[in-house]
Amino acid sequence: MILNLNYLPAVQNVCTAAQSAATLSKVALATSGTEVAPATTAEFLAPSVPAVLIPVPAIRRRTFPPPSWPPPPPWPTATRTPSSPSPSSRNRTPPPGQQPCPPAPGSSPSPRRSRTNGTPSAPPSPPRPAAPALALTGHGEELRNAAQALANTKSALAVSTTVTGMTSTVPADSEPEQTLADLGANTIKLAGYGTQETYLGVSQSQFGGPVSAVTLHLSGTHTAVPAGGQAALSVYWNDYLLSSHTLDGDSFDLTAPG
Amino acid sequence: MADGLTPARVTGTIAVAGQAVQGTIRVTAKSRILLKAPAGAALTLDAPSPPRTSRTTN
Repeated sequence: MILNLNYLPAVQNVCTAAQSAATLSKVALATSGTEVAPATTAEFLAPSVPAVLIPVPAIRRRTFPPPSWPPPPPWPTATRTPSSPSPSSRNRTPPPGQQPCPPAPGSSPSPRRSRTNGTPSAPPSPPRPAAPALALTGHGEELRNAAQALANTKSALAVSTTVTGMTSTVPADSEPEQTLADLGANTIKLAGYGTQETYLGVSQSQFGGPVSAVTLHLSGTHTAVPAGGQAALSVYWNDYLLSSHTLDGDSFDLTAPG
Repeated sequence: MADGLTPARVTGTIAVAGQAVQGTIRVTAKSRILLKAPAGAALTLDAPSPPRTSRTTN
């Protein structure tokens, strides 16, 4: 379930856009009913799950998951700058000619987090002994291809014993180096006052196996920062700040270890 | 599909800080408004969870 939090200031101008924020915290979801052992793949997964992401062992194994599960590697990731472009209340355009306000006295810039969602932020834990487990068997490329196919968001999940139409194209190659285009983002654009943010999910299956380390190389261009203004680009990986780069001139090129 | 556990209520805390603590706070899920209230320094979210999305059966 995705929760969207919108804050609509009474006075909507560039000052309120830059100097006020709403934060949703302590989110909890209460449930009713009784746990029922799943009988199908679809019952095993929550209805909101659009796809299955499975880290595939690098070495060939006969079954998955292996008997001794290694510590989970860094999980797919987000590339973003601190803010979000989505809700209209947080992507405001000032009246023509109006300049951004300076920071309020005593305030410090901070990214606004006004949306929470169910996006996985951590790798799935190995199944507990008492919990129902979904086991996939296979080896080598077959298993990698199956994992990539399951990770494809175009794959459908169904509740019946036979399924048709679950056709998706497996990526041609799993390379240790993936471009933004390979990861599904041909171009990333951010614009507007205040903090803007974008998210890019990365599945380990796109690399053909577990990812133990990662280096991010990001380059791009930007419009000139107005005189007296400040702009910075921050890159997060699973909520960890990888790099923060002050923007000046008209381009940036950063390399950050993950 | 077996019913199993069903989301019943969603709760949380909303804090508004900054220059303008006036306006409207709105929380939505699955296109449903869970909370819409005047912005305040601290708000409590406690609303019924939207129903589960049914999955297409092939």
